[in-house]
Amino acid sequence: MNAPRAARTRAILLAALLSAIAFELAVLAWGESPGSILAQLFAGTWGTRFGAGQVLFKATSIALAGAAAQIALRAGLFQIGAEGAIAVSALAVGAIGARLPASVSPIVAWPLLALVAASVGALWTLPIGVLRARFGAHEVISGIMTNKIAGALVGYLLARGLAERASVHTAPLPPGATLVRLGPFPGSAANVAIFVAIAVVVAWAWIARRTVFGREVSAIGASDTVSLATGIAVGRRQIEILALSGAVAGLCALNDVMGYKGYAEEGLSSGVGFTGLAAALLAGRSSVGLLATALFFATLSQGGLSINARIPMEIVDVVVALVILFVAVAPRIDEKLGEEDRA
Amino acid sequence: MTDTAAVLLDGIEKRYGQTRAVDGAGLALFPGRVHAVVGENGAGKSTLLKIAGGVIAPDRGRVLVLDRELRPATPREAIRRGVAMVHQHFMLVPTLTGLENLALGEEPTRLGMLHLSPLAADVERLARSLRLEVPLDVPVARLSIGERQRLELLRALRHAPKVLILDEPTAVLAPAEARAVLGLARDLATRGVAVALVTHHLDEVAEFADEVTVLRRGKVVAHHPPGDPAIGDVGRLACEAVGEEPPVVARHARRGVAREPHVRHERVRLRVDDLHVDPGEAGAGSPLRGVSIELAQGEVVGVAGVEGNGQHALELALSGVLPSRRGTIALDGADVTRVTIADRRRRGLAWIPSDRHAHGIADELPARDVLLLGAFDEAARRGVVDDAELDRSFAGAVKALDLRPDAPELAAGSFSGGNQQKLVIARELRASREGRAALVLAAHPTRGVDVRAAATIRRSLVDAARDGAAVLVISSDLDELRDICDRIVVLRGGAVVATLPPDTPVSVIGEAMLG
Repeated sequence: MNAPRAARTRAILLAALLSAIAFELAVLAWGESPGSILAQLFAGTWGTRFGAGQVLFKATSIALAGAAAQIALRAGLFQIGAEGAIAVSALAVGAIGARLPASVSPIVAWPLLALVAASVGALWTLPIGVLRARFGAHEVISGIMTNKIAGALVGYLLARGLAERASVHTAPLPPGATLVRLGPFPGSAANVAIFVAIAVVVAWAWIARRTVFGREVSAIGASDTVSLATGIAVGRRQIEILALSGAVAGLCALNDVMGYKGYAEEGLSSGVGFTGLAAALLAGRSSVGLLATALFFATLSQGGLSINARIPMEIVDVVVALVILFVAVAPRIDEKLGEEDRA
Repeated sequence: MTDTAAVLLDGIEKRYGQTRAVDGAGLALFPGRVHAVVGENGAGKSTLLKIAGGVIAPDRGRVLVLDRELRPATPREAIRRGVAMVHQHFMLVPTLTGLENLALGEEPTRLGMLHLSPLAADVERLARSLRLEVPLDVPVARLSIGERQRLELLRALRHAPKVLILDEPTAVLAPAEARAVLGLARDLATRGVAVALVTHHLDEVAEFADEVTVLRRGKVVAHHPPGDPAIGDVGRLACEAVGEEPPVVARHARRGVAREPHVRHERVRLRVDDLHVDPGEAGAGSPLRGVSIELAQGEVVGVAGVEGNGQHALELALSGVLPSRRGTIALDGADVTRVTIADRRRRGLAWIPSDRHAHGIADELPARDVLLLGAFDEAARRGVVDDAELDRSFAGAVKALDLRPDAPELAAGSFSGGNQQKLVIARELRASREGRAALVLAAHPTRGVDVRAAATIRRSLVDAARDGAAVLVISSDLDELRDICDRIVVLRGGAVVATLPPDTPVSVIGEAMLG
């Protein structure tokens, strides 16, 4: 029974090795020394408390977006619409949060705004599920389209009055609506939203494995025709799962709006939805894996900033893309090597 | 006939997880012989022959094709070396035509454009010479099961293979079609081809095979060379396959399974009235044109017919996969014509589907989940699934149906075809055992299942009727229908053309089927 897990571990190690080689080659091609670039990347991330805090802050949003993707993938669905849900939820939390009384207590503000974030995210991706379940429209296409709409809508609403006069962002949240920063990482944006992210990732793993809902969703992911034939409410589950995924994506607003900026602005969390999808694809069904890949991508992202003076940070993006590619092909390479061993 | 084996398998081992599918088995296929490989479900027959065809690489052991090792062990290399295989499951792209399917992998071109007409001429010539006529310009989805099987054979025989491996080629076919395929295998052997034939029908072995290998739990337990009288001895082969002296062995010994008159109540459980169904592109074969059937509580009714006369459309319409164009379906008096599959199941539908992969099992799910698919809440408390309860259900199925291997967490796709069918049977007959089933819709319930399990399944269907359900059995095995049914309706051209008592001779049923 452990053979597949061992094979997966081997594949990940192989992918890591290939990615490291690709990184070195890219840095060498830029005329820099890989060793010293890596040292600087490390120093700029895990080398200081500030750097480590920034990594944790970025990992929080990636983990939440990753959980959103992982939830949908369990049912065999690609949640491309997370990006839009994140943008719309952030605006809603910013706009509603700014209208709370200045003296609001965190005991009221935190749960209220978390509820706003989750329900706006869920409502935003609900149509994707309905289109898929009732009309057979592919969720990737609807996701791309709703992302476009979300981008335009956020810009429009900010321009038409949600933004503060003479600015491009909403009015600041009252102090009671902002999240507490993490003490050990002074100056960084790391905040308590990271515990929400961890809780969500772990809770989903439990729901997926242990509950009727999770088992039915896994069955749909394995075969929707068989699930339908055995009487599982496939359409309803698909709608529920995409809405749940949107709700989790919406929680990114806790980290970015309530934990970091204190207001919402256009493009605040842009790209996180897709990084999360990549993290989920790498992690498979594992919750520990998802937290690890979120940290990994966050490290590369923050590290890219710290080496930007010497090599363009886009090289880091290239490496990230190669990692995904290698992870996709590594199991096949491992299989081939195994076959030759036997022959 | 030569002394060199066309294919020689030696000391083959193949494991899946903790299970040894093949455990040190060997096999030699000689030119000019039909070599039958028999054994129970999960004995390792398919795995062994897939290894010969390069589809699966063995963990240990040698595969020689014409004295040279098969390397790399891929289907492509095997085909190149003259080993053709027809799989148990069709390997056809449903949206492509027959001809396009045959062209896959070779795609003849002219001026860079796909150019199929010379191929078409070639294939038609081959089809005529082998008497394997199939419409080549129609999407495979619209072909009947028999036609698809002929297409698979055509593809295998396209390049005049030296070795032909047939994995349960007759399991899905009507008797006449099955005989045609076996006759073809015989002809090819006389022309010097080495033929391997996996089958559960031991009478086919007696009639068409020269040589027999019996597998049990991954090992060769008997080998009968040409001329061995055991080849014609159905009872002895069955004993060897099962590994005991079973009371019920021969295919015909299952007669009289339960033909005592069932307790008959007058309550009508299924009423089908003037049902019209268009098969569409769903691969449902031919349409249904005004079928009316009524089944009372405790009744077992068989549906006979030549493949492609509306059986598949009937199955999919009753289950709720296909919409009905006209007419009504009522379960226990309630109109369910426009109701979803899930709602029909809530009203007491149990469905053993003919297409296991589309409607029966999901390969990657653990077997215990497949066993309770759609009914997880029965093994759950406050929405949380009790895995121990799933394991208990699984253990029950292991005991009742001799399900193998006893590995509840193993992916269902790793079970042999026959054991996958047992998983489906166990799931679908759960409700009827508790008296909750109104209608058991069983389409080809014993297809690809070994003799002993087939007998158990037939008994379970009769038990379901005794427990109060109405049972509708669609089958191409007329003996099976005559054994367990109270009456047999014959479908032809999408309509019921005859309703016959079960003791009607096969020849009379056959006449009604052919018209």
